[in-house]
Amino acid sequence: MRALDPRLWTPLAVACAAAPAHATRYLSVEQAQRVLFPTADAFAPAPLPGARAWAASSSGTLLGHVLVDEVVGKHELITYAVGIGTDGAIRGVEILDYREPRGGEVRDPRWRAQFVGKRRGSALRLDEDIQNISGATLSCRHVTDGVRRLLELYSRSPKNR
Amino acid sequence: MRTRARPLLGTLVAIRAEATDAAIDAAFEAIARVHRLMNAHSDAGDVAAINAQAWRRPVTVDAWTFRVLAMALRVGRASGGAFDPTLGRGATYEDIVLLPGRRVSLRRRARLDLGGIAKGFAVDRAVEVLKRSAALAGCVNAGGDLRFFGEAPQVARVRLPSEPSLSVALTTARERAFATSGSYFGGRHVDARCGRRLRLQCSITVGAASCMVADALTKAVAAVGPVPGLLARFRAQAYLVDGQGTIHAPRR
Repeated sequence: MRALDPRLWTPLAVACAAAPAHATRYLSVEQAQRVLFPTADAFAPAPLPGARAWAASSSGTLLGHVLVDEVVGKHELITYAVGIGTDGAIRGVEILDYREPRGGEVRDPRWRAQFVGKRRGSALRLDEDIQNISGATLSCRHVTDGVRRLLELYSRSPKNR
Repeated sequence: MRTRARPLLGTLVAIRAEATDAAIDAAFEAIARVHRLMNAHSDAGDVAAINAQAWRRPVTVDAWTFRVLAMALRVGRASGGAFDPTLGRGATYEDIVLLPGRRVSLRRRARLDLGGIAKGFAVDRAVEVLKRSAALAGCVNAGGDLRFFGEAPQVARVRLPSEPSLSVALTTARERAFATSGSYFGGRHVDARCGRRLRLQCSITVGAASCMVADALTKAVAAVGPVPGLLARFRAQAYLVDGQGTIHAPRR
């Protein structure tokens, strides 16, 4: 392929060690509650069968619910929160945690060794931030499916009708 | 510094910014608006309307869609068609005609897919919203298309094509956007001597002032290589990361 023709590219003098990616905590449950219902002054546990849930209220008036759930994708584990208003409409979806399990190869010291020492003093380190990483094709399909499941769960719960 | 993420544009969009939650909400909303306007797979929105009608009569589109189409044509022309937002049946970017009054027509029945450029544009709009709300610094990352803003330099990392759970530090930059070609190259090569699969995959990343330009150029460079005139015209840089994690720059 022409784009990869070695005559077009030259290796940079300094190659950097690879860092295992990625676990990011975006919001705690409490922070997500406040983001989804900024005007609420109380969040009372109101568990649903199949999800953690809280009832958001302001001066005793019910505003809606916050549901927290996890989905497991092919390469990732995502905890997310959904805000649902009293009208049953979604107020917002926020990611709380994103984790990628280490692949088998990453644990293999022989494979890791090829990256070690390429730059003096740069040992492999845990990268706790997915923020600045390009080339990440993360699918959110599992989250979309999960949100649909939670809406279904919510609408079937008698006390929310 | 606040970090939040939402499922948008079919991926995970993360925003880290010194900003209020309301400002970050507004930035996410700008991204959602780009998705509504330019998602080729939805029945509503400008791209769906163009695909359905623009070959018969001009379609009036939103100013955002018009800007993305104008840049798509610029990159299409500058790359000799290596970047092309049209799909199928002999259609090319030259079949897209932009008319006064934000109207778009097609010279033939073609399908547009702005997936190769709209994600970058969405990142740019989110950064604009954050800056307008007086956010000082941060990063917007839409599934790997990212843009830094603020005074302090930040490190751009790229996933290894051979082992996506690892990343390498590509470069340090401020007020800069980076996009990496989504598909990895080289495929599966087999060492004929032992039958073992070789890792020959590479990825290509482009850095530019706007994420829209970086997004479109990374597709062009992946197709035709780091053509110097093309990169210079958009004040962009290209990088190749190979399966060993070694970073390559275009040979001068």
